[in-house]
Amino acid sequence: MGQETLQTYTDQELMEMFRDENRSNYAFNLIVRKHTPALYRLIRRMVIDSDDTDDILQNVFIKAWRALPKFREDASLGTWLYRIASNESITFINRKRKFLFIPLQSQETYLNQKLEADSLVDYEKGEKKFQQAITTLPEKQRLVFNMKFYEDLTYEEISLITGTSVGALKASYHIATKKIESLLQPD
Amino acid sequence: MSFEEKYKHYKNSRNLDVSEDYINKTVERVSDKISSPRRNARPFIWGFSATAAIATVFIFLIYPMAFRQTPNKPITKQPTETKQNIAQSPNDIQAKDSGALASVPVKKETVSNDELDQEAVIEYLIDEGYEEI
Repeated sequence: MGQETLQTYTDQELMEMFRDENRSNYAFNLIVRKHTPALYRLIRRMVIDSDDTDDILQNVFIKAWRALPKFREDASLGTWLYRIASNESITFINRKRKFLFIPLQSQETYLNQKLEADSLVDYEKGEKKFQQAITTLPEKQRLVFNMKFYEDLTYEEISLITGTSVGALKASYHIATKKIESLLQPD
Repeated sequence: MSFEEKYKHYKNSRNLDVSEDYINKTVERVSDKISSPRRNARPFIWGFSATAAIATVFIFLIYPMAFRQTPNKPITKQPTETKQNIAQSPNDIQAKDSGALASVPVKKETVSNDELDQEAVIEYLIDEGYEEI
């Protein structure tokens, strides 16, 4: 199934198709195909590890499958899936931190180690340093930064996803960029 | 220059793009999970937790209450006073001073306060041959 087929369906059309019992499986298949790339990037940037990303992504879609019949479309399907993905990522990080007894201060070190060990991604010169600077941000700030900087989501969309006010998001993003810039300054 | 412009090259990095093969595998994995009978561990966990909670309550609360042995009541009466002590009333002291009690054989038989009966004591002493008391 090519990308062209996916692009022809909007989220609205996919939801209509999903509500048709005979086509719900096919519609969900298309939803997974359409949203996997963006959700993968978001989760991967949060947890760094590729295997963890696979597991979380799978859970996101399973949860979506169970909850889709009750989805009221107050927000777009994409925003709703982002919301599930961000909640799952943060829950996973917190659970892992508790399980591995990682103190808050060591979270950055832990993520940096994951970055260093990541053989699947070939970071260009300087990019790894940029990524390492991002790992110094607190989880929620990192989530906001990734959604704004990489995924180009609007503050309104991020507000729907995170449940935070637009003003607070703007402040959070501003602080994040300042912190990253300061870390990237040559000594 | 804004932050986005300054780091545009990182922003547009495509190194986290997923392949068509990865998408197919994700679809497959998700489909397998959805279509397979739901193997939910929750009922087992809840069942186990409930059993453990009931067992704990039984062991620590119900069992000790239901099968607790009542503390053994002493078969013999607690020694509260001896006859030596009984002979401490002013009369006795007086008698003692007069030497009347000097040779009274004292039995260290225990008697409770309930049984402390002055008349019985006097009777006992008379029986023992101390009529002058």
